Amino acid sequence: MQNYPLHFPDVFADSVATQIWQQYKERIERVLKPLPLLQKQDILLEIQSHIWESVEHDSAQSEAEKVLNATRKLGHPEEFLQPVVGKKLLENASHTLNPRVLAQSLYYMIGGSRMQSILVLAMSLLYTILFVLALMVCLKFVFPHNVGLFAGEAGGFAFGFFDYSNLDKKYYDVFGYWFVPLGLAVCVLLYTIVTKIAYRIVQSIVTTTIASDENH
Amino acid sequence: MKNNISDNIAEHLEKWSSQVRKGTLEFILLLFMQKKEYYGYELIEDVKQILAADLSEGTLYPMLNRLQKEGLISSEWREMGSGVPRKYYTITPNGTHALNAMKQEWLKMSFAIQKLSL
Repeated sequence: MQNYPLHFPDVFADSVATQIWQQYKERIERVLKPLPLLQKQDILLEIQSHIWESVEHDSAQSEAEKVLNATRKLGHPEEFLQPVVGKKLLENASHTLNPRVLAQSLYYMIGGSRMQSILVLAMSLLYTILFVLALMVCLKFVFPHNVGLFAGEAGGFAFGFFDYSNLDKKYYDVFGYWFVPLGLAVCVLLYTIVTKIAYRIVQSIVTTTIASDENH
Repeated sequence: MKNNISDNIAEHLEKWSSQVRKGTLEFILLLFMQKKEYYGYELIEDVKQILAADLSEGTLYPMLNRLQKEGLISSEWREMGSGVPRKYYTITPNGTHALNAMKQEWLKMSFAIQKLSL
């Protein structure tokens, strides 16, 4: 756990410079909002430290200009922080398996690199399939004879929801009510595996931007 | 027509060069940190000089964060006598092992490329 510095300046001598910083800080805080307090604090303080250093080393005439230069060089918080927040949220979700945090992480990561966006799309597809399976488990209670895995006496399988009146009599329900615990177990298992694997993949994706990347 | 071709080559070269710089950034960061401990701003300034590139500064912190998560570097906040507190990054023994392996790989690759270029 990090020990946070106690003496962190938050204002500049020049009021316009302070105003520019405050506006930039608000944008950072807005992007970092879904993160736990300690992670939020660590990222914000590091950016704050960077800006103060940058101002100190800048030869521009006014303090306001120095702060503006510092924020410009850092970039838009919505762009460079969004994938970071997505990764951190996914990390939190991979530990807690909280679906709300997971949904937030997908939302934040979609704005990242191309690789990251492709991964998010693949994950969203898998989670949608899991959601449908979970929904079918619930529907099994309401329509016990229409939902499940059905096997034909003449061979072949059918999986899903069937209109009772159209259901072929030669089909029989393979799992019966065992469909509920089995379906739930598959959901939980796949949810955990997909989340943990996705977290590992996301960690290895490089999100650094070099100037010429932006030109193409 | 000729201009078009040279424009295409220049564009391709710029793209390739950016990919190379991007791919070696982690290596470069560790090489710097092998010499001494660094705080974010100082490290970015030094890296920018080496890469001679307009590096988007904000995107370098996620990489430092990842290296730290992988146990290759560690960080510590320090109050400064005067000025703003700094977060210092230090290479860990694991980081040094990884860096040595990277150096070997780099030498192998550069030797192979040199041989091909002759």
